[in-house]
This record gives sequence, structure tokens and C-alpha cells, in this order.
Amino acid sequence: MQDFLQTEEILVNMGPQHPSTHGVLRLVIRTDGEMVRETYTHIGYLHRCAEKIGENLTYKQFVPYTDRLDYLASINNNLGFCLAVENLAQIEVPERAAYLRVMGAEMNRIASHLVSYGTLGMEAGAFTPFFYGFREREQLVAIIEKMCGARLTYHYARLGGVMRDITPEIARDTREFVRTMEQRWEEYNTLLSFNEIFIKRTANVGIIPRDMAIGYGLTGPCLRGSGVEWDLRKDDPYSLYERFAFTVPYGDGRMGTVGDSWDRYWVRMVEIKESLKIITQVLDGLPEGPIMGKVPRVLKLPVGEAYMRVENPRGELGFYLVSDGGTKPYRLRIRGPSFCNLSIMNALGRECLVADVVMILGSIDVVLGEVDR
Amino acid sequence: MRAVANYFRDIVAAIYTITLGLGVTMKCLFSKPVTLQYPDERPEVPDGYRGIHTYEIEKCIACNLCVQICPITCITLAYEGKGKNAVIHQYDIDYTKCLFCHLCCEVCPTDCVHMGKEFDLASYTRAECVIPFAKAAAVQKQE
Ligand code: SF4
Ligand code: SF4
Repeated sequence: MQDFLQTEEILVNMGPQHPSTHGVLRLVIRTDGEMVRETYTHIGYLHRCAEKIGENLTYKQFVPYTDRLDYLASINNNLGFCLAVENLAQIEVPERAAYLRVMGAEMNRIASHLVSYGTLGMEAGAFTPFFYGFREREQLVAIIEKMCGARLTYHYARLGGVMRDITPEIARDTREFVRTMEQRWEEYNTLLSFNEIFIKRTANVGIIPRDMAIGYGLTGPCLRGSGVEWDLRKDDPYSLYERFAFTVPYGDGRMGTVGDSWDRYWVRMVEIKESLKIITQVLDGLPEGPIMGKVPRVLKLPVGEAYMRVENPRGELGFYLVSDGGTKPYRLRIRGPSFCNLSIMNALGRECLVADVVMILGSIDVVLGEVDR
Repeated sequence: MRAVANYFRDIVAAIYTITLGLGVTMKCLFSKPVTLQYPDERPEVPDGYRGIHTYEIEKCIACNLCVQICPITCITLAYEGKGKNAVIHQYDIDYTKCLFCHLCCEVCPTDCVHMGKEFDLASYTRAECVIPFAKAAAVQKQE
């Protein structure tokens, strides 16, 4: 009788085609009933050899490929790669171009956080936030579409500057968006952030203590959610970020413990507001001038190496370039924030409920295009 | 006892916050829809959109620059002669590969390849995804 009634742990595959894994991520979870004993992440389904492709293309040609790493934040990716090349080639970027890059990057950050807001809501079982998030995102994407002509793979920041200048119409639309978004932000909080069920689902779930966050090399909202004040835009400014006034939000355990899923979520929400501030400052202080620096037609980089990092919506995105003096990089290495952030999943998805695994993954907010590269 | 009280407090809080959320929903229920009934309604595409290319064969000088800059070599160019007298036999772009990166248009010295407003790429076969621009121009000329 004893043998007959014994329980058994079973291995369950979550993904690669699972609605709550944000792309093709496979999680293998060892479950004991509703409890998850262990989680293993399996990645690589989207591997496209991006780094190797980069070594076979000229610098100019690789910029559109960076769009496809973290496809929710293309402009940030373009910017990171361009900065690395510009650093090594000593290309001067005009001030106006730097401002426009900041504006593009911040718009992209908002668009990315809106997706994260919507999907996290959906993972908690609330379908409505997804539509609300996408409604505002649509408005934003329409503006970026006018700026560069594309809706997802923007290819906006170029070596030496940006693709196109903004028109008065785009400036007007952007200001309009900032106004709407500020109102909607309050609505979002009513809908999701302070909803009791959502708080119960995220507070005290997937707690990452400060030391653990640093130990795992987390960056971006995941690190700041654990109460660490670290933002490259402030601590290692690039592209004239030092000229803009904004605050860096970090988790304070308002709804539970510092470093829980709600804190990470809240950091993203506050970042949306801060980005709006930056966009307004860019529009107010946009200097006149050219939008493209002097870039030789055949770009040959001097022998050497450069590492440039930018604050992507998900964390520190770094490009390490080694040049042997030719037209193509000798070695290109990408330090992706999602990849590093995802490494904590095995440690977090332990002794929790199956539904919590979904919430934890959602709160880490990975983009598989960049994890697998 | 406290656990029971907490339990009921949570339920009340949940109902209250959901009602607040429903208020937001109600507000939107009576506003204009933001969605489009694609494909019956088509979105308005702004100028400078990076869609399927347009190609002006008369202007092309067959300089090969667009073929060289293309990151994924999806342009096939076949021609005879040089410069202004060049006769273009083939100018195909393979849209199964194209990144819509706009580099080919930026590099063109005579400004004869542009990106248009057409974005509808769906087709039944892979062969249909390759658009033969030179052939299309020849057919147009005959007509
Ligand atoms: S848009 Fe880019 S990928 Fe497409 S044909 Fe032009 S250069 Fe090639
Ligand atoms: S770059 Fe322009 S002119 Fe030169 S081959 Fe291409 S389309 Fe023709």
C-alpha cells in the first residue's frame, strides 16, 4: 500500500514554445506536485552566430545586425556598437546627433518597458495591461517610424551620427506622446501596479538579495531592483548623458522584500517616467548642427581594441572589438544583459510554485534574441 | 484568528483594487477604438518608410556599390557595358534575406534605388519573394 501511494517527482518541459517564456526558451522544471524543486534553463534555439557574422562584415554592415540582438531595443544596440567603433576609429559625433541618439534610445527604452509591463501583467493572469501597454507603444512606434522608417529594426544610430534628422512634426508628436504617457502612467498603476492580486503574485517572489545580484553579474532593472544604485547613464556616461537630469530608481522593498519581483517591475515603471523627462530635455535643448560626423567611405580601424557599454533597457550591453587594422573586426564579442540576467534563473526557480517560475522569468524580462545571439 | 482576518482583508483589497482597474476599463470602453481592421483598413505609412524597394532602371549606372554594401548580398545585378550606357539585364532583390536596412539606397550615387511604402510581403512560394526589378521595368516599357 505504501509503495502504491508514493509520490514521484516529475520533469516537465516548459517551452520552447510556451506563451510565458518570452520567445524560445526551454525551462526544464523538476516538480513535486505544484512545487518546483529545480529549474534548468536551456538556451540556444535562436542562435544565429551574430558575433561570427560580425567578424565577416565591415563595420558599417554590421550595424543593422545589432538591431536583431535585443529586438525590443534596437536603437540602444546600434548605439553600443557605433560607440565602440567610433571610440576605436576616433570618429567625432556631432552634438545634435548625440542628442538625437539619446532621444531614440530613451524612446526605445520606454517601448521596451511597455512590452515588459504588458507581458508581466499577462503572466500574472491579467490580460488587459497587455493591450494598454501596446496602445501606447503603438503611438511611440509610429513616431520612431517617422524618424527612421522602420517599426522594429530601426537601424537609427549610424557610425558617426544618426540616420535622419527629426522634423518639427516629429518633435510635436513626441511632446504629445510625453503628455499622454504621463497620464496613462497613472492608469497603468491603477490597473496593475497596485492591484492586490498582482502584488500578492509578485511581492516576496523571486527575491534576489543585493550580494547575489552583484555576484551573478546582473545589470539593469534586475540589479537596481535589488537596491543597488548602478546605472551606466549616470556612472559611466556616454553620448552626452551627463547633460540630462534624471534620477535612477532602485528597489526599496515597498511591497515585500528588497529585490523581489515587484521591485524589479516597479523600477521599470519609474524608468518610463524618467525617460520621459530625458526626452523632454532633449527636445528643449536640441542644438543645431549636422547629424553626421566625418566617416571615411572605406572605414579601416587602427590596430587595437575597444570596449564600450551602454545601458540597454535590460542592463549593460557591451561590445568588445579587436581590430587588426582591416575593414572588418578581428574579433567581436557581445556582452548581453539578458544572457547574464538569465543565469540567475536556475538559482531562483527553486522551492517555489510553478506559477512563481513564470512570474520570476517575467520579472527578469529577457529577450531571447540577445540571449542566444 | 489573525490569519483569517488577513485572508478576508486580502479579498476585500483585491475586490477594491479590481474595481478601480475596471474604472479605467470603463473609461476606455467609451473612447474611440485604436485598432485597425487589417487588411480591410490599411495603416497610413509615413514618408520615408523602409518598405519594398523601388528601382529606376534608366538612372542606374551599374556601379555595383549597392551589391557590395548589402550586408546579406541579396541583390543580384547582371549588366553589359559601363556607366551611362550600361544595359541592365537583371536586378533582383531577395526579400527572404533583405534586412530593410536602407544601406543600398544611401550608397547609390545616382539615387535610383529607394525604399517604398509597400510592406505586404506575404506570398505562397519562396520564388515569389524574389522581385525582379529589371524584368518588371522591361515589361512596363513594352506595354
Ligand atoms: S535594404 Fe539592406 S539588405 Fe535589403 S537590399 Fe538594401 S542593402 Fe540589402
Ligand atoms: S548603387 Fe545605384 S547606380 Fe549603382 S548599381 Fe546599385 S542601383 Fe545601380
